[in-house]
Amino acid sequence: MTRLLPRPSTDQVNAIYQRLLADEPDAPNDFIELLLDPLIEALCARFPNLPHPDLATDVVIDALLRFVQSPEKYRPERGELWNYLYMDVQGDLRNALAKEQRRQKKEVPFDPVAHDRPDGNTNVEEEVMRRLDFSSLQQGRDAQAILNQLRREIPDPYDWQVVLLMFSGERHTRAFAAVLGIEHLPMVMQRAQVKKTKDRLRLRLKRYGVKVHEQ
Amino acid sequence: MSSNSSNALARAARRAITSEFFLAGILHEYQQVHHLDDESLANLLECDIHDLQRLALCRRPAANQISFVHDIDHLAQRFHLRADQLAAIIRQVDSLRILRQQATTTQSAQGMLRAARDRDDSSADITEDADD
Repeated sequence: MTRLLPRPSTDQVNAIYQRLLADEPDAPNDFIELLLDPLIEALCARFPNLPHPDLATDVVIDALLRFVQSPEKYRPERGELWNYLYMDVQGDLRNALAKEQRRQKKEVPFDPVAHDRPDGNTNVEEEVMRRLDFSSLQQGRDAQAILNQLRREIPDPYDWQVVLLMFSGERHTRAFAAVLGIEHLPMVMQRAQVKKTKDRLRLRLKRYGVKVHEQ
Repeated sequence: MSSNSSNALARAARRAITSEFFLAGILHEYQQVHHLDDESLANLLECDIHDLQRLALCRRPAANQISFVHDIDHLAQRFHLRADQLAAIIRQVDSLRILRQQATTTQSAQGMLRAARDRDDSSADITEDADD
């Protein structure tokens, strides 16, 4: 059995992050080199049945190449940088998988027998697409286009995970608290912070003409 | 930093070629123009060949002169390479890009002039035909 690469320590990550902020020319390489393989491994462990072996690699590479160009987007008060990046790549990978699944569906004729059984590989973003309120959306735009636009408009991976949870009908405060990294707070404060975040995101979604039907 | 660079790092260096932010595009273009493989480029820079992909993933030095020199020195010290050669490579590729851009602009301006001239010629032909 292959051993997973150790996740770099918070101090290591933060030290290079500070060098990125200081605009040192070799900091992008050091940041990418430190996190690339551990993030790929973490992602492959989380998604063991990827259709292409390079999918996780490319998602992580693109996320890191993007991050080192604008490191200031990360807000340390929202949690550890590793968690931020891990959530970012998970979101991107889910998008890539959904795209791949749609491509495959176009190629392979639909087999109702095979589709009777859920494969256990739940895709949150596909669920989100099903729940998008089309009546409130402009005509002529498909759900994926809207989802992609929303993903661009809500670049913070924590916020995006909260949006996905809202769309998926999640009601438990602890699920949102885990995403926001506030599980250590007393429940009253968790509830207040979760509510505040959800209200803020609901308003933003409304601006894009999207309603959330939480069950 | 580990001396064993992963395959993923090499892949990242290749994907960074298309971005203006990284040195990858500059090094790649220089290699293309001068038909250099990695070994020749490493020899030119007098650096370890394994450090080329690391160098490719560094931010390209800033455009203004003071920061440029500072960034070049920083990279030269870090990768034990020849600062003058790295600076020359970047300046040369930048110049090539400017020339290429100017050539494209001139070409498109010439194309427009030619089209305008052709239009004038054809109107003159029509006028001559009418005179006949």
